[in-house]
Amino acid sequence: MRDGLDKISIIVWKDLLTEIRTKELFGGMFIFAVLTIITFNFAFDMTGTAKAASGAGAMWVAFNFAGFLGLGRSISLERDKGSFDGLLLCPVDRGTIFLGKFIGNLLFITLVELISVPIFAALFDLDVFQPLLLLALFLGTLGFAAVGTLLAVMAASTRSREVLLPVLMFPILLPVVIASVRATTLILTRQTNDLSAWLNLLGAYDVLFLAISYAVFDRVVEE
Amino acid sequence: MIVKGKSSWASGVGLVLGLLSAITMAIGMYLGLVYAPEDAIQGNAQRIFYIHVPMAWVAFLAFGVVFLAAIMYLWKRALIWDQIARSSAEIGLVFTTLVLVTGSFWGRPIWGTWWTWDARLTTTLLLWFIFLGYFMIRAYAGDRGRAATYSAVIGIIGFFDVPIIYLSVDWWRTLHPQAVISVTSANMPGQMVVALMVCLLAFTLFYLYLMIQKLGIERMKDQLIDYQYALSEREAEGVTTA
Amino acid sequence: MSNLSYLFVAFLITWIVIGAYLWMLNRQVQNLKDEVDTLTEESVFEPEHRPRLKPSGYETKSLRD
Repeated sequence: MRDGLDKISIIVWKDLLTEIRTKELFGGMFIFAVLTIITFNFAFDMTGTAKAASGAGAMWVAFNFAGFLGLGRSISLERDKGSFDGLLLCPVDRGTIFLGKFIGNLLFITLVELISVPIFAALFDLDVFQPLLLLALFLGTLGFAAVGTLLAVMAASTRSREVLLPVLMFPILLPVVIASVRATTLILTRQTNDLSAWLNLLGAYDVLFLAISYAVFDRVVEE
Repeated sequence: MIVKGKSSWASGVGLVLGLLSAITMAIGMYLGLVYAPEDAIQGNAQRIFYIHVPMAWVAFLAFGVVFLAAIMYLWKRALIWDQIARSSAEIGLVFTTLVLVTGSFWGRPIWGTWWTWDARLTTTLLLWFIFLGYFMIRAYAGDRGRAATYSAVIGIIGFFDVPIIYLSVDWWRTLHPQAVISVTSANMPGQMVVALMVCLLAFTLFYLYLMIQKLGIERMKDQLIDYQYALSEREAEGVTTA
Repeated sequence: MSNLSYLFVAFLITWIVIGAYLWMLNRQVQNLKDEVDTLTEESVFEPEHRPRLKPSGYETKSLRD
């Protein structure tokens, strides 16, 4: 167990180090997220009562798109340079590799979100600094990263991976999008009655799809 | 000449199934279009249900078969499971498309709209997209083993996802005030039930018939790939002279 | 006799699509049969040296092309 955690953290650390040196992912994802939020500000009517709902939608679309960008890039970078094969040759369990990549992706997307959320709050004039909102954000991102890591690994070894990843992910992620947007809207409008149902749904989705992705990852990377 | 032995058995079963499904289909169409009474409220548009509901059932059945075959493929790694999965997925895609189209033609006169974001409709649409992704990843995967593995993963994830999609859309609608349109016509007259049951049977038989046909084709395709591979191997060995 | 046109169009589309699908399956079978014929006719090997056509799908490993 201890040993496994060490191995996972080494893989995560490797990804962080790569990012610190190449700076290929983070900046692009962040700017993309902010630009999406800005564009939505003009696309939606931001006055009146619908502001919270449109704002929540805009935020999640921005994070999802930035997430697609990051996922695709983080895996294809490894595939292209051949380091993914090196990783697979390491004497570690394939599940451990999956968890390492998953946590790395989760970390990147969460980081982008944490920096974009204050900007979002300022631009939309919404009170986003609530612990529950952070929980909803985290649960949504977890599900996104779990399915995303698995699908990105598959898409990266196919032709036209840039197109394939969103096409595969959007339908599968729909429950996450619905639940996250609804939960965020409810928190922003301070209607916490139905909130637990959505958070439970997110939690269940996360557990289920993390388990499936972990279980099948071994088969996916088997060459 | 490839299709000797086992396949002649399959074509025999296929023939019987084809005949059976054609006969039941004809009876079902008669029952649905003539025998069953016209619905008092919905008029003739209600008769679309006699093909719509059975096709929806076949689409979900096909998806269930894809799921089971996908699990078996990832477990056993035998190509036969992938052949079953991809055959069923193609039939499922065809029927899901038809379910969406016929549903629209029912919705237009009854609901006054071609489309609404009802849980059932949205789930079916998403199912269609998952099937589409299934074939896209196959097309782009490059080689046979990879295509089989990747599409199997999509089949498994999709199967678990569909009930969650349904649940989330259902909650989204109920917790989100909107004009609720009731789909169910609770008490159907007996003749309608009979017609629907016969149509369900007919389409299930038809699915089995299509499965046998499609499976035969997919097996033959793989056989040919193996054959060409073996042939090129022989040529490389240089056994040309007899 | 209300909404008869919708019923008609829905059935028409359904049976056209199903018919087209059946026709497509039939053509696939024909194409495969033709391919088998050309392969066996054009083979440079004498019949006894040709690789045997094995039923594909039961092998458990190595599915590479």
